[in-house]
Parts: sequence; structure tokens; C-alpha cells
Amino acid sequence: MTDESNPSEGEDHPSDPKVVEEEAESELSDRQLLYQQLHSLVAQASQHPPDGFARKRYLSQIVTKMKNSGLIWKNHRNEPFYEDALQEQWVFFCSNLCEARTGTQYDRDRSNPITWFNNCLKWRLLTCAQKIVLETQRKASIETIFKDGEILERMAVAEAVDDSQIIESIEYFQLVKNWIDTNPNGVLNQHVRGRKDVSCQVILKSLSSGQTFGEIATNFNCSYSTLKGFYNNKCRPLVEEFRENCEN
Amino acid sequence: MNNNSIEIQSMPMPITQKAIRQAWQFASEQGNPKKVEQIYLNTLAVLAVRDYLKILDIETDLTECDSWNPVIRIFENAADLYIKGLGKIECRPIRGVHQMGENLQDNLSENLPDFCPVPLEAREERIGYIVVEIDEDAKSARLLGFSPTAGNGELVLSELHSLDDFLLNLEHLSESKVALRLWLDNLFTSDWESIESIFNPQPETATEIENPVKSNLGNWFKNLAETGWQKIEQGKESLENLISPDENHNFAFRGGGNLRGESALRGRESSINSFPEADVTRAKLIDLGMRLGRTTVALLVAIAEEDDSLRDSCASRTFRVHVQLYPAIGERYLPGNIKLSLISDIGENLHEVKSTVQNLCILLNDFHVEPGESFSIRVALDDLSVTENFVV
Repeated sequence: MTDESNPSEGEDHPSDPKVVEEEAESELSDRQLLYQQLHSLVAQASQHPPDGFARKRYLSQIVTKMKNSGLIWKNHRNEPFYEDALQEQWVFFCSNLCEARTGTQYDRDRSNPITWFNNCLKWRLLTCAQKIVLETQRKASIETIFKDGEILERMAVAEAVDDSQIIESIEYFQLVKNWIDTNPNGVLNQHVRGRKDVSCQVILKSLSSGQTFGEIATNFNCSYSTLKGFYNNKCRPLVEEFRENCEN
Repeated sequence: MNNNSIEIQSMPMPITQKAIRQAWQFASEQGNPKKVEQIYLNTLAVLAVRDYLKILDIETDLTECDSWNPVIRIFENAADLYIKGLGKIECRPIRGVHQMGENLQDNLSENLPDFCPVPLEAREERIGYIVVEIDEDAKSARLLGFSPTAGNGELVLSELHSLDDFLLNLEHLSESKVALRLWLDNLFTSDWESIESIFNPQPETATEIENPVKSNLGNWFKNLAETGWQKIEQGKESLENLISPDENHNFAFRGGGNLRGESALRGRESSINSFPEADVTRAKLIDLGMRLGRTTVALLVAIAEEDDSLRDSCASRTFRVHVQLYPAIGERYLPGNIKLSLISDIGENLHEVKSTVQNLCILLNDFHVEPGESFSIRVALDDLSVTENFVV
């Protein structure tokens, strides 16, 4: 954990160890320049009210500069939760850069924004890792101690949530597919004027197989503005109605 | 913008575990491999833009999106993201061919296609387009840039605007909304004029626009008596006369602009009678383009605060809104097939009225708007349209 204690480790991580000294020097001055730019952008951002677009535009510039600098602490340990922690950290960073809104405010006298960001990110990653360890231990102990009973049931339910959502989604798709195939009460028989072959049923079937409006129009030799107009006015309302009925 | 500046100005977003799970969930619904890939990438692109907006504390609502609708996304190539109160941004995913995992900075965007296609279903009702390069190996979704329109159906990557332009665009959108509540305080943007200056464009009216006559309508609500409009009630009555076409479809101004209540010209189709309680009425001239010469129409919007005295008196009250469309001065009828539509803030067409051959005016059914809510009124003729955005 030694590198966790060094705030600038994320930035001082040369990808190529054979950097010649000259390059290293110019890199350093580039970095000084970047720090200055960030410093002044933070100062400008702070002058604008938190909810206004002026502030948001400065924040966006700051985040873009930082992300593209290559100095943000990378996923050295190849942790699966790195991206989630990183995103959370950006939200935290922007919320507390100019004033404390969800945590401790950035202190420009103590560090530059990148160092502050990396420090917080490392802590966040550490906390995530610890949480996962604790969670795994807790599950293991619960499973061994409570062979039956309420707690075990609750755990099982929590784990099943993700899968059940996917199953529900697949069921939804089957319902829709079934609806198109069976065409109850001939509700999908409406067709483009003069073109019995281009019905709601045919269009919806083609779309659900991944064909674009352009491809369908070409296949059926009709203009795609006609096809899109028909879809908007006739097919889509039926689809929306179907969804509402499903939910009721 | 060249490739280099794409890199500098673009915004790499991490592809989170949460996003991957969500994308798989949506994609797993599908039976068709093409749809599986499409929905998977669309979902990742939408979430990348959502995460970017979240960083900037800009609120979005996925439940209002076609991309989050389990039935619609089976049929449409949907990657829309609703930004609260402003509209839908389309998040188009593209895949770069990623060769060297480590050297992200160097070969990025070299392997990208030159264009990003925009499907037909995403060319309407969008406030703009963001192209997102999805790189699953690097777990990175890079927001390459922004375009305010879909062009001719393909976005040229080298011509994308910066994300700063995107934010500017959002800012303009939020500012361009006509804040109806301000009308009650007699605050109008210059293009929303009093009825008399719209419907009585005689030379002397031009000077009237400069003088306090213009403010009369707004002051009705404050019950301020002014020359020409002696009382609020009388003012309202005059308003009826003003915009109620008589059988000859002359507005009440024809007697040299005598606006006093006595010049009663009660038209049979006096539609303002259906909205006599208007607190403020304003109108705006709308120019519908050039194709066969100019077509100018006047959009009239009247508002009334609902008198729901049961409610807490401090709370902002609901507005009742009344919308009419008239031909420009000098024309007797509206052009045929002109459409007047009420659009929700997510771009849904809630109500639409179309003119027939000889319509003196068309009007929407009155509707209610809660404080803080937005809506738009669209006037369309053929493929030309003008949209006015309002917020209460």
C-alpha cells in the first residue's frame, strides 16, 4: 500500500521508463502549464453561480483537460469496479470543486486539482475493495451460520434480482413477438394506402429483425417518407397501446 | 475539427459495470443478433452521455426515452436521452477499430469511420446529436462531439462541434423559452407584441409600439387604468373585439384603430369568448419560409392563472393557456393544411389542429400547465415549421 500514501503517484507514472531527460523536462513544464490552466479555470468557474450554464461550461473544460492529460490514476490493479468508482469520483469532484456540496471542498492552497482527484479516487477504490471483501465474508458467514431462516432467504432474494430482471425482459420480448405473429383481431392489418403487402404487421416484423426504415422501403419499393409517415401515424400508436395494456 | 482536436476536445467517459449490465439486460431481450448489437451499443452511448451530464449536474430522465421503452426499442433504433425541461439529445454510438490497447492517445480516431449515420427515427424531435465512440476493450465511451442537426442523415465526424457548443446550445434553449409567468409582470420579449401592434400594422401603429400603449395588455392583470383602456373589464372586452374576426374578417382596428369597448364587432366565431378570463394576451408574427413566397401568420397566446383558491395561496398557480392562429394582416384565410400543434417538453405531439380550405383561424383546445412545466407550440406548413417554447 506504499503508493497509496504518495499523492502524486498517479501523475508520476511514466509509461515509458526510457524517457530521455530533455523530454522529461519539457513534460514537466507542460505539466506546470496544465496546472496553471486548471488553476485559472477553477477560479473562473467559482465566480459563477453553481446552477448556471457558465459554471457547467467551465467544469466541462476542466474535466476534459484532466481526462485527456493522461495524469488520472489508472486501473493499475485491474479492478472490475474501477470505472464505476471513477465515474462516482468525477461527480464528487465537480460537486465539491468550487464549494462543499456533498463532501470536503477542494483546497487550492494544498494541491492542484489532479492530485486532489487522484487522492480521492485512490481512497474510493480502496473503500470499494474493502466493501467487497466485507460483503464476501458476510455472505460466507451467513451461509455457514444460518442454514435456514429469514436472513438467508433475504440474501437469496437480493442476489436473484438481476437475473429476474433479465428474464422479465425476455418475457416482454416474447409477448411482443407473439402479438405481432398472432395479430389479434386483425389489429395489425392496416396497410399503406394501395399496398396491402405493406401492413403494420409486416413493418413491425421487419423492424424487429433489425431492418432500417430505408431497407424496408427499398424491399417493398415504396418511398421511405411514406413508410415513416405510416409508421408514425398507424404502427407506433398501436405499439404504445400494446405496451400500456401490458402494464395494466 | 481535425482528428487531433477531436482528441483534445472530446470527453472520454468510463464504461461502468452498471452500464454494461444494463446494456446486456436490454440487449438480451432481443432474438435478432443485429438488434442485440444495436441495443447494446445504444444503451452504452445513452448512459455515457447521461453520466457526462450527471457530472455537470444536468438532470436527465430515462423513463421518458424511447431507448428505455422495452417495446419501442424492439422496433426503433433509439438512442435518445431526455434532458429535463429542454428536450431529447440523440446519443449515436460508433465503434472504432481498436488496435493497440495501451496506446490510446495515439491511434484513437484514426480507425474511426468518417461518418456516423443517423437513423430515420432519430431525425425528428431532437435538440441535437452527440456521437459516442464505444471502445469496450478500453472500457471507454468517448463523446466525440456535437451536432445541432442530423444534416442529411450522416454526421461528418470531422465537422462535429465541441461539447462546449453543446452546453451553449442547452443554455440558449433554456433561455429561449418564453417565461409565461413574466407576462403577468408585464415583461415580454420583443417579438411577443400586443395584439394591436400585430393586427393593426398601420403607420401610426409604429409609433404606438414605442409608447405605453404596448404595456397596456400586461398591466391589465395589475388592474392599471390607462388611456384607451379604461378598466380591466373594458380592456378584456376590447381584446375580444380585437381578435374576433367579424364576417368580413376585419379586425376591430378598422375604424382607425379605435380600441374602445364600444367598437363592438362580435364575430360569430369569436373564439376569445371561450377564454374571456385571459389575464394577458400576446401575439407573434411567424414567417413560414420562402418556398412560394412568404407565408406570415400570427400566433396568439392568452394565459389565465387558475383561480384555485382552495390551494395554498403562496404556491404558484396553474396556468390555463389558450392558443390561436390567424392569417397575417391582409389575408382573409389561413393557408390550407397549416398545422398548429401542442408539443410536450419531451417532443410528444399532444394535440394538433389542421386548417382546411377556408379557415379564418384555428385554435387548440385550452390546456393547463403546472408551474415549472414546459411546452412548445409548433406551426407547420408542408415541411417548414417554427416552434415556440414556453415555460410557466
